[in-house]
Formats: sequence, C-alpha cells, structure tokens
Amino acid sequence: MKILFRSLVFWFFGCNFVFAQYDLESLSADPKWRALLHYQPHGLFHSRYSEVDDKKFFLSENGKYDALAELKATIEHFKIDAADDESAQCRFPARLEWLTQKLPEQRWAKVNCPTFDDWYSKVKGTQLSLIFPASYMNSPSSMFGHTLLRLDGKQGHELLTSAINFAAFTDPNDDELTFTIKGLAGGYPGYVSLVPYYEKVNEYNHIESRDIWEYQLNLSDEQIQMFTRHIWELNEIRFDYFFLDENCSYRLMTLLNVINPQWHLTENFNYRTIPTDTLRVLESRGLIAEINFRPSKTTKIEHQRLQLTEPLRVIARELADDPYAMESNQQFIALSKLEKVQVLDLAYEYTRYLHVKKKDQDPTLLKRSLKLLSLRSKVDIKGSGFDPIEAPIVRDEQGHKTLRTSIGFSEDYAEVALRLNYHDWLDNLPGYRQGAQIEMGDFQFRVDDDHFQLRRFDVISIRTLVPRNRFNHSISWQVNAGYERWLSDDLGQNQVSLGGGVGYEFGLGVAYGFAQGQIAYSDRYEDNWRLGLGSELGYLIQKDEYTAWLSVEYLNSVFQDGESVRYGVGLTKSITLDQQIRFQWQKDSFAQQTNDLFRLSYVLYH
Amino acid sequence: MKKFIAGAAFAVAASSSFASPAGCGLGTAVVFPDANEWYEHVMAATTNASSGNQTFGMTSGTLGCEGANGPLKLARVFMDQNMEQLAADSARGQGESLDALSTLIGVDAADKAEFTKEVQSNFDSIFVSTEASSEQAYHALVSVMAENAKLAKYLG
Repeated sequence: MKILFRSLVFWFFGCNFVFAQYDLESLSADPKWRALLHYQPHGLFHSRYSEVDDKKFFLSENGKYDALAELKATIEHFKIDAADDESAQCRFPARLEWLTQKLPEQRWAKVNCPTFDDWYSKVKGTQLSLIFPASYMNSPSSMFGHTLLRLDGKQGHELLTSAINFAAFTDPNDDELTFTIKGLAGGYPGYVSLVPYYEKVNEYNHIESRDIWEYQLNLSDEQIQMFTRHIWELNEIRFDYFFLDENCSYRLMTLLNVINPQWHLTENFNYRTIPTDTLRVLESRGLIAEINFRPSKTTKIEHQRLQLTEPLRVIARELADDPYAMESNQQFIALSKLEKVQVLDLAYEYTRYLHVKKKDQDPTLLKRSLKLLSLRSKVDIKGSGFDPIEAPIVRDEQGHKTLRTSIGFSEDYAEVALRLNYHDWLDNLPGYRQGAQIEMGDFQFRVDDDHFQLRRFDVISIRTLVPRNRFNHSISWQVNAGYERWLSDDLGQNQVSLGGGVGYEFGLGVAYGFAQGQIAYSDRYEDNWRLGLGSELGYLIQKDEYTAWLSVEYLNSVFQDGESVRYGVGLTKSITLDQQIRFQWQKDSFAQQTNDLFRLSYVLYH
Repeated sequence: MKKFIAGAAFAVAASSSFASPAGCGLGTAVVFPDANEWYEHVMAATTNASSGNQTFGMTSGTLGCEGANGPLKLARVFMDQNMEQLAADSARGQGESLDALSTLIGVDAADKAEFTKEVQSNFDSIFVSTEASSEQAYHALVSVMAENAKLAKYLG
C-alpha cells in the first residue's frame, strides 16, 4: 500500500514535472518567442537562429542558437531579486509581458524599473506609422529609399514625435571600396535608435531634399504597446548590417513581425529587400491605413517655378542674386503683395538649394538668404502664397514590380532577358523618378537553332538626367559596367564606361550631352583593350504611357586606332503597369565591323 | 579600425543614459548649418546612416536632452536644432516648426495667431544675423513675448 501510494505520488509529481518541461519546450517553439528573439531561417537548410549579433541580448550562453535555453534563462532571471533598473525584467519588458500571460502561475521577483518606466511614459503612443523618404534628384541609388517608423504619443505635435530608425554606423574614414565590401558583407554594426521626428524630417526633407511618404499602420493600442516595449529591448543591441538583404527595411519588417508572427512579413525577403517591396507586403496584409505626403525642397522649388509666369521667374532669380539691389527696384515694388510673397519664397528656397548642394561658394550667399527672409517678414501675408502641393497620384510602391523578364524577337533569333533590379529609362514610368535609372544584374540571352548564349550582361547601369533651368543646376551622369557580345564577329567585350554632362528640356522631353569615356577589353581590339574618349548625345521622352530614347555615342581611341559609333533607338508602350511592349534598335561600328540588331519584346515586371 | 572601435565605444558610453549628447544642444547653432559633402549623401543613401553626428540610443520626451525640463528649456533645445526651419516659418508667419515651438512653449490655441504675428513682425530682432546663435535668438524671442500682454504669461 505504501509502495503504491508512494509510486502514485511520484507518478503524479513526475508527470507534472514532465508536463512542465514539455510546456517550456513548446513555448520556446512558439512563433512569438522566436520573433522576440529575432530567430530567422538561414542558409540552405533553413536552420533557425537569432539575427542579433550581440551577447547583451541573451541571458543564456547559447541564447543565439537555443531558444529553449534562452527561455529557461529568462524565466530564472525574472525570479531573481535585483536593485532598481538592474533586473532582467527591466531590460526585457516585452518578454516579461508575454511570459506573464503565458505562465500565469509563475511568480516573478518584485523589482523596480524607474528608467524604463520613465522612458515608457514619455514615449508610449497610440499611432505607429511607416515613414518612407523616397528618392531624390540626381541620386538614383536613393530610389531604393529608406524606411523608418514613427511613434506618435502625447507630444502635441507631429514634429516632436519619436522616429524609430535602424541604421548602419559606418566609419567615415573608410574608403569607397572598403565601404562597399563592408556594407555588403555585414562589416558595419546596425542599431535601432529613437530620435525626435524633426531630426529625420530635417535630414531627409530639407538637407537631402527627399519627398517623404507617411503610411499610418492599422494597429491596436495593445499591439503598439507591445511593440514599444520590444524597442526598449533593442536599445544599444547590435545587428550586423547588410546593404542588400538585412538592411533597414528588412529590419523594420522583423520588428513589426514581432507584433504578430502570423503576418509572415519577412518570408519573401531572403536575398534582397527593397523598401517599396516591404510597403507592398504591408499593404497586402491590410496593415496600411492613411497615407500622407511631405514634399521635399526641390519638389517645392519645381512646383513654385511652374506656377509663376516667366517675368516673375526672372524677378525671383534676380532677387536671389541680389536682394539688396532688388529691394528698391521698381519692378519688385510694383508687385502685388501675393506676387511679392511668391517671388521671395522661390528666391529663398533657391538660395538654400544652392548652399546645400554646394553650387555656389559665394560668401554672401547665406546673408542673401537671411535678407530674403527679412524682406518676406515685412509682407503681412501668412503662408507660402502658392497652391498646396498635391501628392503624386502613383506612389513609389504602386509602380511596376522590381524583377523584370522579357521575351523578344528579332529577324532570326529570339531573346530572353532577366533583370534583378530595378528600373531603366525605358521602363514604365509611374511611381518612379523621371530621368533616373538604376539596374543591377541584367542578363540578356540569344536563342536560336544553334545558340543559347549570353549576349549581354550588365553588372550595373546607373543613369541620371535632370534638366537644368534657372533654378536647377544639376549635372547629369551615367556609369555602366558589363559584358556584351557582338553577333557580327561573335566576340565578347568587357567594359566600364563613365559619362557626365548636362540636359535641357526640349519639346516633349529632355535633350542631353555627356562627355564620355570607356575602357573595354576584347579580342576585337589591338592588344585586346581600348580606351575610348568622346561623347554621347541623346533625347529622352518619358510619359506615363510611353517612352522614347534616341542616342548616339562616339568614341575615339586614345592609344589605339579606330573610332567607334553606337546608335540607339528605344520605344516602349505600356500595356498595364506591369507589362509593356518594347522596340529596340542598336547599331555599333568599330573599324570595319558593324553590329546591327533590333528586337521587339514583351516585358513583364513581377 | 581602431578609431572606429574607439568611436563606437564612445558612442555607447555617451548614450548609456539613453540620451544623445548631440541632442542637448549647446545653444550655439546658427541659422544656416553647413552643407554636407557629396559622399556623405551617398553614404546616407546606401546605409541610411546619417552623416557625422549620428546618434544611437533612445531619446524620450525630452528631445534627447536629459538636462532639459520645463517648457522653456525644451523650447530652447528645439530652437537650437531647428533654426533654419524656424527662421523660414517665422518669415512667413506660419509653418510646422513654428507650430511645434509654440506647442513646446505651451501657447494656447487662442493665442497662437498672436504668437505667429509677433514673431513675423519682429523677425529682424530675433534672427539678427547669419552668425547669431540660437541662444541669442531664444533671448530675443523671450523679449518679444515679454512685451506682449497676451504672450508674457507663458514665460513663467
């Protein structure tokens, strides 16, 4: 009987003990726990471990790889008494909140967390927004954009709210190559930081002149509170920063995914994360509520310029050049109050643009800016005097999708092409910046009875064309590196080319001229290489429904004999946002060789 | 590499109180800050790291300056960090940054129009020159408010 009783007791408690162990194991496999620890699948076998690269984030030695060990260690630490702010409970309030719900029978130590409580009371909010500073003129790489979050609390004004930003902390002393390698290979640390929103508006909107889109997220108060507690857990915690895949946009997806891992926000971002793609994912999960738009300084200038007649533009420009003289100029004095306000505003914005873009080294530039403001203050009208700027109808993430495949036909062969990123001058325009091109990984294959071969491979091709006018003095430029095979002599060529120059609005489009240089390696050339210098002239029309591009490039060889000429014509018509028909003709000649090809293609973005 | 590690260590130490030293503002900002170099733009675009004085750490309602408390102190910090926007808004008698400033000072909705009118008509005395510091601008603003019956009460 005793033995029976004892074995019953043992079995009872033994079972409970086993049951509790089992509980912890399945709890540690809970997607929420994994999300809190930032566990993601890695590599071919999708092994899961934490993306956090900082020992401070884990309470157990092997927490990065062992979610169960981390769970046990966390529970243990929560039970230990500690001085104010010292307890693990203070460092991990999101874990605390979740474990308290999941393990209601557990008793945690009674501790105080004054620093966290103070921070939380000041920062906590009822609205979370995703902020997207979009591309800006003459920086095609900025088409990739950046995303950050904004938490609105009781600060009383949008500019005073909290911006939550994930960024790489780079070494300003690194040269370009080191910077590129480290950036691609995770050599820089990334940290989450929280700063007043005006810092980001100043940086992106004013200094870098980027339009900003603000997407309010559809989240409940509890979800936002849980998210805020988790942000605290990431204070000063390092993640390795990778430009291509684990960049800012990816990191924000993992942060939002902590709210509800069932959203699977990161599942499509294994190799590359492009900010507009993350916006598309949020939209598809129904997480976007309202959307607001903040125009940049250069957007404002262009908008204002277009609202003024030519005589007023001239006055605005003269005011910027010499406000002291213009102050007593009859033409200026005779203007209506509203006109005065308009020309002064445009003149001021223009002088700031000159200073920020370093277009003007004149020491009086800043004084002129201040003088313009002073003159403005004497006109007792409030506000800008211009119509408000409307948001673009098509947002960046509503533009064509970022992968591109095309199938084309020529006289006697077919062409199949795939491009990994992102947008060129002939692609469907809506949602993308005019004159901007950035392509990476563009593969073009020729297919016929005898061949399936690589005809062209562009590693990178960047172009930016910004027309100059009275209020904009941009330099347009291009850089390209890749491989191309001529069908006429079946010889391949590796080349890097660089060009820069100016463009001006003309008719329906922009006419441009670049000084151009190219280094090419090929059996076609004497000594197998060639340095060519010359120019490229072209004309580009980009409309929502169609595009057209004509170009001619002429290069004279510096060390060898022979000139090369390349003519190009491209015409496209969009079918839908994600489809187009494209016609391209290209004729190259060098010495006695000519390479002449055309094709008509169907292009699909996906 | 050493420099960077040292720099990172400094950044960690400095923000261990969860506030950024750059946020405190010494009151020395001038109205038009220096422009960035072009490569700082490239870096910013690719890494989303901002140039120069990046801060990491978590600021809170004190605009990143733990030493600041009380409404006017916060207004001072805000002025120091937003001189250019405030100057432009003041000249126009309207604007987001000016609105945020009046919120920080605690100006009631009913008095905001008076506030912006005073700021616009006294522009020259608040934003005296391109070399004037935010500290000077702040004191000038206080004087302007002190002489206005409706606004003086916010000076505490």
